[in-house]
Amino acid sequence: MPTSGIPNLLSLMTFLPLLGAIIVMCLPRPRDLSTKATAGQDKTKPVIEDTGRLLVTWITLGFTLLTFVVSLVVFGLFDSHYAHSLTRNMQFVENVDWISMGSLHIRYHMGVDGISLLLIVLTTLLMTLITLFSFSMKDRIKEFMVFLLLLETGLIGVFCALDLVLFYFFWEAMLIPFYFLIGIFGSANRQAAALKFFIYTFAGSILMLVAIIGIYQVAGSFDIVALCDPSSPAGAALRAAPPEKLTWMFAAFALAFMIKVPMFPFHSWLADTYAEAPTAGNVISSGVMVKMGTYGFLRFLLPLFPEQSHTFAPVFIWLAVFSIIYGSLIAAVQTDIKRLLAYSSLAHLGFVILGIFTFTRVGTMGAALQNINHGISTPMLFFLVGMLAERGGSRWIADYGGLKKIVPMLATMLLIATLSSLAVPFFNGFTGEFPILLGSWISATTHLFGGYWPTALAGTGMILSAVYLLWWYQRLMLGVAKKPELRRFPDLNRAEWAVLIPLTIVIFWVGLGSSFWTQRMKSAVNTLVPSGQESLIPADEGPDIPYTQPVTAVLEADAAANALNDSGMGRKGAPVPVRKKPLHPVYRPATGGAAPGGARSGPAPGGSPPPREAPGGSPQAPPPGTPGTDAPTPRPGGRLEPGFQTVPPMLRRKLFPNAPDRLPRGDVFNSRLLSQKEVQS
Amino acid sequence: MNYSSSIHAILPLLILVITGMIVLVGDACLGFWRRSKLFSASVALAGVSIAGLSALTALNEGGVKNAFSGAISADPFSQACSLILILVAGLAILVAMTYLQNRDMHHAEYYALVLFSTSGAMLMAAANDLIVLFIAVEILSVALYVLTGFARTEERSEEAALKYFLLGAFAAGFLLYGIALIYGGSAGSIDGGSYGTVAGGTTNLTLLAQHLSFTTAPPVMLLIGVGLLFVGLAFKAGLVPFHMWTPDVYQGAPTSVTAFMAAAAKIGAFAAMLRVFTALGPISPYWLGAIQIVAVLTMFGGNILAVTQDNVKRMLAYSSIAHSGYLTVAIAALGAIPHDSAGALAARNTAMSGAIFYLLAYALMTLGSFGVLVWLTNRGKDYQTISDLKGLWYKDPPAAYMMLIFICSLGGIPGTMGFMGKWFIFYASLQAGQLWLAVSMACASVISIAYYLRIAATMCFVDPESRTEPIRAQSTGGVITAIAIAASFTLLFGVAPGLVHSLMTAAIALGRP
Repeated sequence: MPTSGIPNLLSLMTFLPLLGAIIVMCLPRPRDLSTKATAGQDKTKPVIEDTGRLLVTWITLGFTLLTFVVSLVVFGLFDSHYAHSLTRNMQFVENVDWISMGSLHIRYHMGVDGISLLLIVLTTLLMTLITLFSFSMKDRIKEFMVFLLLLETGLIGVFCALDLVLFYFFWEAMLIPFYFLIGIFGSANRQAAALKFFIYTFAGSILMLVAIIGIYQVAGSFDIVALCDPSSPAGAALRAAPPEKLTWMFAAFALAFMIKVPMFPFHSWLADTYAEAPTAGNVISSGVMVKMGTYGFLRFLLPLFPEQSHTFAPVFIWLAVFSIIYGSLIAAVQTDIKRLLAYSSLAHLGFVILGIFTFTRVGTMGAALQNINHGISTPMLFFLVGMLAERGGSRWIADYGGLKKIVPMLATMLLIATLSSLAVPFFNGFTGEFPILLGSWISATTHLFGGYWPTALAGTGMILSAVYLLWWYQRLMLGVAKKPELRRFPDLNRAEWAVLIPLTIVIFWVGLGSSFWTQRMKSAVNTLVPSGQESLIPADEGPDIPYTQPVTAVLEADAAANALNDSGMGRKGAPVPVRKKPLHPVYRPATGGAAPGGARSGPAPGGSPPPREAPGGSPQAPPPGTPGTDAPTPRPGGRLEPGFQTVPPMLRRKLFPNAPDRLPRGDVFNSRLLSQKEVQS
Repeated sequence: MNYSSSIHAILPLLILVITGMIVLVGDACLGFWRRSKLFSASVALAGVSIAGLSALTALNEGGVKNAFSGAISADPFSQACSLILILVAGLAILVAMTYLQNRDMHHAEYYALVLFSTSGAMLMAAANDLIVLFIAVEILSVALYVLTGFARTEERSEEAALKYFLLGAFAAGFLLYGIALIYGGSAGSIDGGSYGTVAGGTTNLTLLAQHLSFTTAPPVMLLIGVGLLFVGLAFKAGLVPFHMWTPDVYQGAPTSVTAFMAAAAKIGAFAAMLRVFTALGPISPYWLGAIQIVAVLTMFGGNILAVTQDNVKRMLAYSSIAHSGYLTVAIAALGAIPHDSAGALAARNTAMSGAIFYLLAYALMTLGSFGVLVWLTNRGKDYQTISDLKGLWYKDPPAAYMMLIFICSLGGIPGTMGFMGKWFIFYASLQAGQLWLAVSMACASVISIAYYLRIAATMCFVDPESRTEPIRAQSTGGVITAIAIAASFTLLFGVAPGLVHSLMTAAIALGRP
């Protein structure tokens, strides 16, 4: 296991903001500056001498920056080639006894893999930017900063925790500071919105708590790593539990995460919260907090309940598709800037859920990347909307218009953020949403339950997003400025540039060089979607095609240097044999046999260019240092019908009446056992 | 067991009673004692500390001591409950020091009454005989009736005292009648075994448990007796539908009394219920359904009624009803564990230790939240309605911070004892196979969040009418100490509940079949 040399780096990163919160809490309270607050006070003291305000803001900035630096250190020391499915690729692991009484053992178990690492860096970056953005806040700045720092601890903790109880601690403790951020600093209707948000999330998570205890009762462990591993006692016990019990636990977990994301029937808190929250609340919520939901799907739901996830996949796929279309349509008719972004968030996160439930590496990687992308573009939009609202004092679209000539820089930045959210190529959104659609196209799961319809309908979501976002941009920025006060808007100032530039850099970095980010998540995604479960391509038929093959082919077509480098590396490896066998008839979509041939080997549908290096060689062969955990292993028993293992267990008995019940999962087991042997040797 | 060792077994209790008497006599006879305002309080605190040390020693010694021919059982369970009760008494005295001074009713009797009723609650936890249990309930209650009416000049306080007394007397009747029926019902139920036959019945819980384990079908008289006994205890614990007195009494009583009563009476009642229903374990199929229904009614009733309240004391009263419901879930879990299953003992220990932890958590957070209301009396008026708390965050930040901690704990937010307590009860009820009870408890606590957050929102989201309010220069040292202790324990044990592990495992002594 790679270690950093610096002990307890994750704990340091998690609790640094907490320390900052305690320090800021002890500082004297600065004077409020708004006219309302200063109405009854004497104004003899000039504002410039308010050292309390300087102390509060700069100390907070210092702590958020320091946390950001620590997270960058973790990012730098992170070994992206480290792959070990038995430990779920966790690095920087800390594992000590926390609560041990009687039969109860709760451990303080922290660790990061690629997926959580990127979310952590995103969190610390956004927190730093929010602090910077909030320097101009007038009232109650001290409380604001305290809550911000407390929130940061909770968010980082959620992404680091590897013990279910520890996770729940952070997950729930984070609600309180966020509740206050909305309730104190929001707009007129903030109290109701804060309460609605809290009750919604609390209702979901307390049922999850019951399910967590249920898991412990069944498996005797809270350790996620052990629970996810079917060869460990805890993992085996969990999988051997009565199916109806597992289904209930699955439902409780799914409910908590679906509320958090949110998905269609549980989304009603989203628009109210976004509309009433202050800019900081919007940024945190859209950037990081909703990611806790999607992260929950990836980290907990899928690995803990693989069978149930497969069985209920159609529900999630259709809900995701519905969220995409419904969110887009509702967003198009909004008159409130923030509500529009809220519904667009609903649509974009629908893509993430769709990607997760394709059970393909492409789709899952796309979902993980889109998680980050959405955490960059939506916060940037919210920052810009906040800047607009600071100038115009209104959040109604109709109050603006024709701003492009007045504030050209702000308009340009807004365009960048909009295009990024639109998933235009070159921008980051594309690198996330395209693999998701690709994964959904080649996925057996989507096929079984809806043919190509989920992909097709989700694809319309991309068009719809162009409709509402471009129209929105048009109404805000283009045309003639209707009101005279709009002409007095100042353009971006230095602090605002400082907030926007880092986000812009990340947008293009992800958009043009996505492999820098995906290679860090690769081992996590590969563990999440074992080769045997991958899409239409059964493990015993073809080579284990690495995720990056089809995607990089398209994504990096423009970043020529990178791609050349990669393919050059790849040609040194042994040529990968091409699969010639036709698909099992079950998997031939009813719409016609022509499409899947292309879909299997590359991203042919959708008019994208054929993969340059697809049949010839293995362009993205695993780097030499990677242990071959996911290398295809010869199946010990007889051959199964191709495609068997990709069928959800519920349908197996119907489709393959003669096949044994549990055998196909042995594929996964075998590869894990192999890796265990490797470790020992 | 001889007489002196019997005395030794109830030493903490005796110390409290003797201290109470010293306070009464000293205040009546000694001039210097009466002139110094805080002398009685200091003596009471000293007595409480000595009693605490003695209870701690006894808990460390371990072992089960049956005192007074088995009428009192000084086992680790009762020692643990005693320890919690002594802590409650100490905090209540600290709270009262401030409150009584601010309200100009500083009398030494108050402290003596607190000590007496604490001893009553301790006796409830130790009572191994139903007659002793009845006496203990009366010692607790009579002192509480007087305390409730301690603000003599206030009509509301007098009304509450009378209401409490009348309903309490009625409940005592139920209790006594139930005991009589159990005595009668257990007489004929002895059918052989190695135990032989006993002519009359018994009120001793150990003997009763032995009787019942030989009984296949308990007589109806016994079951009615158990039902009446439960009604009597449920009244003391404030379970729905026997909760009618709770909001009125909590609201009318002086706030420091409410703080004490909410904690001490509930601990006493639940300690007694845990002991009685453990003894009644062999016939659990007969009472389990009733307990489950009462638990669900109490959780939902308390929480739903609390949502509509505008008076904080009343709201906290309903919230305390809801918390009794959560504790009743633990008792239901105790009854639902099959007797001869493999993990029965472990599961019963989980339920027991969960209940003890929850009692401690409940006592600390309830005392703390009422304590904050007492703290605010230094502004010259009694803080009672929710609009009084408006903008407290800006007027008095430390008080608001403290209130927030207790509110989070009551609502079960992680990082506080309230969360760990809920956690243990969830765990216990799942181990007993009572998933639906755990889920109803989860749903009920979602409702509870609505009104707890209302307090938080009023304190923090609303601007105060005036940012500067005159503070009468009065001593708040006592209540601040109490609140600081309660808050730090709430946070500390919320993060590291292992620190009170020995307190919780003390319950194992009782869980032993």
